[in-house]
Amino acid sequence: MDRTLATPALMTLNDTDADLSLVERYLGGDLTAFDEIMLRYERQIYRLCYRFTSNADDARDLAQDVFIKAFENLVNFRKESSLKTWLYRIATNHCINHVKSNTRQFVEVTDSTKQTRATAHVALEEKEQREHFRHLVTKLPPKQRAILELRIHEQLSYEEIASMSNRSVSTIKASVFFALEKLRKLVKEPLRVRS
Amino acid sequence: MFGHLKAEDFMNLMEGITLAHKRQVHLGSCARCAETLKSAEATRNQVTAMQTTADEHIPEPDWTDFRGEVRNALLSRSVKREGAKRSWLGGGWKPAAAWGFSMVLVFGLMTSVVLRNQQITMEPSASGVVSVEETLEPAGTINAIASMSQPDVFDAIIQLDEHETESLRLLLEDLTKQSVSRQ
Repeated sequence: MDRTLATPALMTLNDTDADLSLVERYLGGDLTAFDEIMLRYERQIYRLCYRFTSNADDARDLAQDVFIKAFENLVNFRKESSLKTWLYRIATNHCINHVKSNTRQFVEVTDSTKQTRATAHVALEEKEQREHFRHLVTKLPPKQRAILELRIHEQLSYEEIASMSNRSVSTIKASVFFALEKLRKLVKEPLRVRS
Repeated sequence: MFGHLKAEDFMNLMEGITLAHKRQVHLGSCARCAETLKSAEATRNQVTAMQTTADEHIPEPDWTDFRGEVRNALLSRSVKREGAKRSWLGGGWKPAAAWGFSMVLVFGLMTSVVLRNQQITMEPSASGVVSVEETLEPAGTINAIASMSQPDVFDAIIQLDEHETESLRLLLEDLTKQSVSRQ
């Protein structure tokens, strides 16, 4: 099969080796390894959490929880996957649980935003359209949304997402496609209502 | 038989992966599949665009604080865990050991007393009652008393006359003095 698209954000072997050596150093009691792991992944994990919460404080709390959980369980890290994939798996599961437990809040925010927009009769500007689109993304089922975020925003490869979620690459590809299809329908919905 | 393209095929096309010839031919001739691909691509571009612009606006925390808080949380949790381990093992074992040791001591003493009593009952002295006059020498007396069972001692004491009682009193006083001087 001819692959014309370079697999984005694929970790090189050196990165993986460096991660494994950091893990071993941390488990061996070298506390500088903690800072190095944090420096490598804190921003990525925080951003992923922010995309799920759209709130800096919540994202910070979630990301910190992810790292606490990861470091506490680092001894159980089996090195079958890369440290990055392992951290993303913890983060994604944590974010999905957060979204599930806060679904009511998300619906309320979306409804109120819709009402404001409907009463204001203001044409959506570019920034608002982005915001609106972001809200639509939050309406996707948590797992589908997580796969979309990991693929399009975090630029993880299909193989990495598949290994994270214990699914096949085909299933992941199909999930991304169905998420896009659902988004397309959601984008059309308000237009139907307005017309 | 071959139908419309699957979800995976559409994603492969969007990723730039060439499809099998049959599927490629189908895409060229099927308006529905072509339309699906077009709209999926448009949505994906929208999502990607949203991402590239939105990423610039993500407010970032103070990373030093962020790291420090994670480190502190880990430390406090490990301290709590250590404390819990210590209280489970360390806090309880001393009283438990002391209690167990005292129980063993009491049980051992009781067993030895019972065994000694049984031994004495099994091998009573020929006369049944030990004569105090026969063993009035200090060491001999003490040995004689020690080898007697409690009822025997009392019986013997009750049967002593005044002179014998006085001798026993003096003997006990001497022994007390000796033990005090040794201390």
